[in-house]
Amino acid sequence: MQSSMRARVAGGARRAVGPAGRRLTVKVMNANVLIANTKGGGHAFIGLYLAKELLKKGHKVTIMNDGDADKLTKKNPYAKYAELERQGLNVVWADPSKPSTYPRGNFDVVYDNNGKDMASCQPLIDHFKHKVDHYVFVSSAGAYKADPIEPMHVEGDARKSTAGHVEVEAYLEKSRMPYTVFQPLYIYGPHTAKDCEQWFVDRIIRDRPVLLPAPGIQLTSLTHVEDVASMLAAVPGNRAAIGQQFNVCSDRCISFIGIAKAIGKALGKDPEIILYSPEKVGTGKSGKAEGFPFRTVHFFASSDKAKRELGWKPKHDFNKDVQAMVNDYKANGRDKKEVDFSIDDKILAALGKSVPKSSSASSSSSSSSSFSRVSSSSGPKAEELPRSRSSFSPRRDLKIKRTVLPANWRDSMDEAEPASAKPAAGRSATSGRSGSVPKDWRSSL
Amino acid sequence: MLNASTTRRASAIKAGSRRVQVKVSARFANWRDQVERSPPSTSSYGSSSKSSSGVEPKKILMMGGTRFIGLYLARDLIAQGHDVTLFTRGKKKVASEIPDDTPSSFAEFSRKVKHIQGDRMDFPEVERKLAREGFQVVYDINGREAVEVEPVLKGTKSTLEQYIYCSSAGVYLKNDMMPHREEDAVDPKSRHKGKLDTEELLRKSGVNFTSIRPVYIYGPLNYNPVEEWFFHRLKAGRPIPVPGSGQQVTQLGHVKDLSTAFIKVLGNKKAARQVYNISGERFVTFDGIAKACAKAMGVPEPELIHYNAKEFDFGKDKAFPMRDQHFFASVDKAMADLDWTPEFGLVDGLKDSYKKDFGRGTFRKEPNFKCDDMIIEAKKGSSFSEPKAAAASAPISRSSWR
Repeated sequence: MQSSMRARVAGGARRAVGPAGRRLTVKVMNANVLIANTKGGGHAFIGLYLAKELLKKGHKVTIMNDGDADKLTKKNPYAKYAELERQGLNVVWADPSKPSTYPRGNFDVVYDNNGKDMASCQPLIDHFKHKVDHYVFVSSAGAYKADPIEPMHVEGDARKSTAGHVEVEAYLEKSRMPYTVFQPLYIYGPHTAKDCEQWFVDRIIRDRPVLLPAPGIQLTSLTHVEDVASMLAAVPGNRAAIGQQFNVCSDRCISFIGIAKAIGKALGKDPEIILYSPEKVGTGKSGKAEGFPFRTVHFFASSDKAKRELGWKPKHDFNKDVQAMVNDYKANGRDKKEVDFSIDDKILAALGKSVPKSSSASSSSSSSSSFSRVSSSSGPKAEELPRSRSSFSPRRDLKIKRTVLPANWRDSMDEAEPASAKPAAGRSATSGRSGSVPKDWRSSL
Repeated sequence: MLNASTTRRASAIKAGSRRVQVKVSARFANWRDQVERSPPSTSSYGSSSKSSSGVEPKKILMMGGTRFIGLYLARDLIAQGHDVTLFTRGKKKVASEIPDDTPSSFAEFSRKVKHIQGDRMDFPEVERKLAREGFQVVYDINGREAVEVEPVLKGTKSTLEQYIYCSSAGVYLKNDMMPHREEDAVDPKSRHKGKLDTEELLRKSGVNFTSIRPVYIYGPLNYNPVEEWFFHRLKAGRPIPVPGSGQQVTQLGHVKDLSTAFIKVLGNKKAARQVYNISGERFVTFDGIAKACAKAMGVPEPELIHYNAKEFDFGKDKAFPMRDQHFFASVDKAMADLDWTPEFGLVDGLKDSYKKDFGRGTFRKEPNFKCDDMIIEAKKGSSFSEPKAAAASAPISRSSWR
C-alpha cells in the first residue's frame, strides 16, 4: 500500500516549515477519495465543501450520499452538488449500511462523514479495512466530557463513556486502520442543512426577544465550514496525521450574548436579551435547552494541535462573516418565512412576561404581575436601554428578572462594567439597571 | 546527581564557560521538585530548563526585581551566566532567600547579583546612574508609565541591545470573541493605560523591544491575592462567594513559566518588536479556580455561593480578586515563536504555590471576610460561624456552620 501510494506521487514531496521550525512533509498526490456523506444535520454540508477543497487540490472525488436522491437534491446542501459535478465530482446515492450499494473503485482515502456510532460506522469500516491508505472519521467534539474546572477541550481529554464515537475510534484502533479522527464543533456557512446563527437572526430580525439560557456568557466555538473542509482536506498523503485526533474549530470562541450582539449589529438592531433557566421553566436540563441551538454549557476547544501538526490555519472569523450570513438569510427569503416561536412563547409565559404579538399593542401580562407593562409608574428608576423597537417593556426597576424563580437564583448580571471589579453601588443608584446587556456593549464592538 | 529521567536530555553545565548550553529536560510539572531532591551541591537553578541556548552572557539591568517576578527571573538569568544588576530603591534586600532557593543556589545568587540603588521616578538620577554602565539588555519589570522608561532608554542608549518590558493583558479591550490575541484591539481607557503608553513609546523609539503581556500571575510569593484569596477561605472552612454564575472564564499563569518566557525572549531575533501573551495553556472558570485551589490544598470541594455583585455595596473592599468578565489570552504566538511551553498545569501550579508559600503559613494579606459575610448574610439569612472542627480538612457541611 505504501509503495503504491508512493508510485502515485505526482508532484513529489512538498516541504512545508510549520511553526517552531517543525518540518511538515506534505506529499502531493492525486488520490481517489470517497466521502460517505450524511443525510442531514450539522455535518451535511461538510461533504460539499470538503469535495470542493479536494477537487481544488487535484484529487478524484466521489461523494456517496445517504438518503433519497429525489427528496434531498432539492435541499441544501445537496442542491449544490450539481455545480461540483461539473468540476468532476462523482455523486452517488447509496446506503452506508449496505456495502453492496457502495460505488466501485479503488479508493485511497475514505472519509466517513456520516456515522456516529458502531451501527452506522462499522459496515463502512469493515468494507474498507486494509483497502485504503487513509481512513478519516469525522467524529464530534460533543464526545468530550464537560470539565468543571477547565472548560476548553483539548485532544486527549476525557470523553463521555456513552459517546458512540468513542467506540468507533476504539474499533478503528483495534482494526489497525490508518485512521485520523476529526472532532468538529458547531459549524456555520452557506448552504447548511442545520441552523446555527440563524436561530438568533430569526428572532432579532422580527424584533422578538432573544431568550438565552442563563448566564448567557457561555462560550461556544463557531467555525466556518470552509475552515473545517480545509483541515479535513489536509489529510490525504499526510502520514503524520495517522492515529491522531484533531479538534476542528476556529481559534476563537464567542459567548451567546456576543452572538446576539454581533447579529444585532449586522441587522442594525438592538437585540433584547432575556436570560432564563431551562431547568426552572421546564424546557431542559443538564446542558440542553429545548429550542436552543447550542449546548447550554461552555463548549469550545483548542485547535492548536492541528495548527502545529497539520500546518492548518483558520481563515474565517465569525465577527467578519456575520454580515454575510445575515445577508444570505435575507437573500434566501427567510425573513419572510413563518417561524415557530411556540417554545419561546412557552418560556416567556413561564417567566411571567407578555408574549409579543405581531402587532405593536400587546396584551398585558399574567396575574403574577412583576412584569406588567410600564404604563403606570410607581417611581421606576431611569430607563436603561432604549426599547423602542420591542412591543413590551417589563418592569426592570424592580431588579428582579424572574418571578417564578427565587430572586437570588444565579441572578447573574455578569456583563459588568469592563476593567473594574469595583462594586456597583454608586452605579445602581443612578441607573437602576439590572439589564443583562450592559449599557456600553457597543463600545466593545 | 540528578536522577536518570531528568538527565535524559540534560547536558552538563560548565562553570565559567562562555556558553551555557542547557538542553530542555523532561517536561513534567514537578521536575523542579525532582531536581531539588538531589544533593545540595546541585543548584535548583543550575539545571534550568530555560534555554536561550547559544546566547552569550549579557550585562543585564533589571528595573525592580525584589518582589515577585523579578525574584525568579534574576535567579534564572544568573544561573544562565548573565551579569545581572537590580535597580531598586533598596527598601528590600536585593538578595533575600526564597522558598525555591537551595543554600548553594542562594549563595551563588547573592554573590553574583549586583545592585544600583535609586528611585526610578527621579528621572535625571536614573539617567545618571545608568550612564557608562554598559547595559546591553534591560528587563523592565516594574515600569508603569511611559515617562519612566525614557530615562532608562537614555541612560543605556549607547550599549542597549534589547529592552524587555513586562506589560499586561489587561490592556485588551473587552471582546466577545475570545481568547485575546496579540493583534486584538486594546482599551485606551483601561486601568493599564500606562502599559499601553509604554509599549507605544518603545515602538516609536525604534529600540529593539519585546513586550510581554501576562494574564493573572500566581505562584509562591505572589503579592497579589489571587490564589491566596481562595486559600484563606478554604483554610477557614468558609464558603466561597463567586460573583455571577461563576462561569466567567479566565487564566492563571505560573510565575516560573513567565520567567522562562522572559528568558526565551533574550537575544531572540523572532521576538524583536513583538508583543506576547504569556500565561497558562488552559483556561479556567471562576468556579474552577475555587475547586482547583481546594484540590491543591487537599481539602474537599468548597461550597460556592453565587451572588449578583450589583446588589451589594462593598465600599472600597474587593469582594473577589478578579475582574468580573471573561479574561483570557491565547499563548500560541509565544509557544510558536519562542519555543516556550508552560510547564505548570493549573492544579500542579497551585500545589507548588501552596507548598512553598501559603501552606507554610506565609501570605501577604491578612484575610478580610467583611464582603464574604455581607454576601453570606444576604444569601443565607444568617452569618457564617466557624465550624466546630477547626481543621481545614474537616468536611464542610451546611449543618456544621449554620
